[in-house]
Amino acid sequence: MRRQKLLAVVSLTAGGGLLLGLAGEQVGLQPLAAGLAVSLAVLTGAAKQASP
Amino acid sequence: MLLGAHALPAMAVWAVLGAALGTVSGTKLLLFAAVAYALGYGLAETLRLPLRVVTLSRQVPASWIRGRRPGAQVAVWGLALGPGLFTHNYYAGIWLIPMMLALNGDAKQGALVGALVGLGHGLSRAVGILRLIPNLEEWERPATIILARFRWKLIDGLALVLAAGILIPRIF
Repeated sequence: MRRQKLLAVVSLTAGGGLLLGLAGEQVGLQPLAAGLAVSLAVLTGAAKQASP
Repeated sequence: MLLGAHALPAMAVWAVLGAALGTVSGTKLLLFAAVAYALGYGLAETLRLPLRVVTLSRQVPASWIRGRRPGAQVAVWGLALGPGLFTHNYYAGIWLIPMMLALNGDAKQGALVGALVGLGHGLSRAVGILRLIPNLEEWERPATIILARFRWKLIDGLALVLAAGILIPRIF
C-alpha cells in the first residue's frame, strides 16, 4: 500500500514537472537550468542536516 | 561566522566550476544525460531501489579539527562541507547541479550561477548545523539520523523526478 502511494506521488510529481516544462517552454534553457541548479543546491545543502 | 565560513568557500569553488563547465558544448546530449540521471536517481531515491549514489567515502578527518582554535575549526568545517563536493554525500541531487551549470553554455554566466549555487548550498548547510545545535542530544540517536535521512532522500528524489519532468520537453 505504501509503495502504491509512493508510486502515485512520484507519478504526480513527474506529471507536474512535465506540465511545468511545457507551460514554461517560452522560458530559455539557461534561466531554467540556473533555477534548477540553485534550487537543488539549497535542497541538498539542507538535506545534509541528516548527516551530522 | 559559521554562515560566512560555509558560504564563501562554496561560492568560490562553485564559481570556478561553473565557469569551467560553461565552456562545455553539446546541449542535446547534456540534456539527455541530465534527464536520464534525474529520472533514474529520482526513482531510485523515492522508491528505495538499490542504485548507489556516486560519492566520496570520506568525512572531515578528525585530525584536521582536533587541537585547533574554535575559529580555525569553523573555517575547516566550512571549507570542507560548504561546497558539498569534498565529503560523503547521500543525495544524488548534488550531481545534477554540474550538469545544469554546463547547460549555461557560457563561462561568465556559469561563474555567476555557480556562485549562487555555492551561496545556496553553503548557507543552507550552515543553517542546518545551527538548527542541530539546540537538539544535539536528539541528533546523537541513530534512529533520528536514519529517519531524517530517509525523509530527505525522498524529498531529493521527488525534486529529481520534478526536474526530469521539467527538462523532458526541452529534448524535443
